Amino acid sequence: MKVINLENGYCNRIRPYLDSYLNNELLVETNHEVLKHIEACAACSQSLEDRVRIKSQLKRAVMQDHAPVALRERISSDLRRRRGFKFSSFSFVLAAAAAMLVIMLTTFFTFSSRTKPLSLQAHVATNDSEGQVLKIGFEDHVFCAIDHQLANRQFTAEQMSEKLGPEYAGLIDVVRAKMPKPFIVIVGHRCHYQKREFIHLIMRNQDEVVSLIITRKNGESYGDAATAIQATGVQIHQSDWHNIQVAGMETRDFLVFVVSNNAKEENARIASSLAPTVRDFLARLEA
Amino acid sequence: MPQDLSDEEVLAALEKVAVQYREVVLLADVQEFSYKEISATLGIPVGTVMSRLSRGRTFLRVELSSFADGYGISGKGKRA
Repeated sequence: MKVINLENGYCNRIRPYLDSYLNNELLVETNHEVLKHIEACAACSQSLEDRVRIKSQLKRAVMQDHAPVALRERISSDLRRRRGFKFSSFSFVLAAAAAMLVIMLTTFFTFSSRTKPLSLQAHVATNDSEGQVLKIGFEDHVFCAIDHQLANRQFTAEQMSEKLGPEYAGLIDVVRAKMPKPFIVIVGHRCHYQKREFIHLIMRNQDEVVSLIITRKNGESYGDAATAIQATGVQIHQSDWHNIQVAGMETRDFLVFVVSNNAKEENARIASSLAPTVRDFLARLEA
Repeated sequence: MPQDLSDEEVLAALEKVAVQYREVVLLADVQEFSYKEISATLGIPVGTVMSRLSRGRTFLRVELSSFADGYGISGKGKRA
């Protein structure tokens, strides 16, 4: 926290603290002084808006592009050697963070390449329409929770609400109410893969990782696949690749997936528990 | 400050920021890591994280403004 003596009207003394103000790093008194000045000063108010917009633009631009897996692995290896990281449970997260950083840095030299191979691939026959739809949820889980280590993050409730936005922030409570008790919601955000936006919640219970993934339909449908099971009036479709289970359902406008490293029966049980309330939640957005 | 820049232009502006500032900006503003986490990740003091972040953000704003000026879409002043 910083204590700063500010005088009204002195924009040049306020400006250096706008970033700290945005990040809620100022003491209450200083925060109040900055707020008071911003309300009275159009130029500083504009400067504050610019900072918010740049941060948003930057995040969007960087998250759109990702380095290939092979490059990512090589960078991780180099980084461990260079920094002498020992992979204890504590330093693993930091090493992963550092690897992520270098991946992003290399992005700027590779963003012209739009191929983004995942570490785990789902091989689905072109005539397997059910598998083709389920693959969408599988790939976002691999891309986000596994390859980009989001399953090792822990967002605050405020961060999740902000990232999900007002339309989907209510999903957090829906999921908390329906997930088995030991699970906690660790991530709630919007991610992008293959030019598609996903609403993505990650729940964790020690080594068990469960993703709830929602995306708007782009013409896809399961049709009347024979493998569907009924869960309180909702048809659930299932498949698995590399021991990762995928359960999927659809509403009028959305595809919903529950993806996890649990056993098939456990993943289906979680999907069955979530399906009716998630369907009802999405119905409000479809109205 | 620009409002109509593409993702590629934002990345190009970021690429012009020196790597020691760029890496801190990315960890703080994209990955939303705390100063302490960035400090441990990069092996630099927290004070250095804060100063590099401040400078990095300033450099990025300058680069983005340059891009915007180049396209005549900056809100600051008119081009001749």
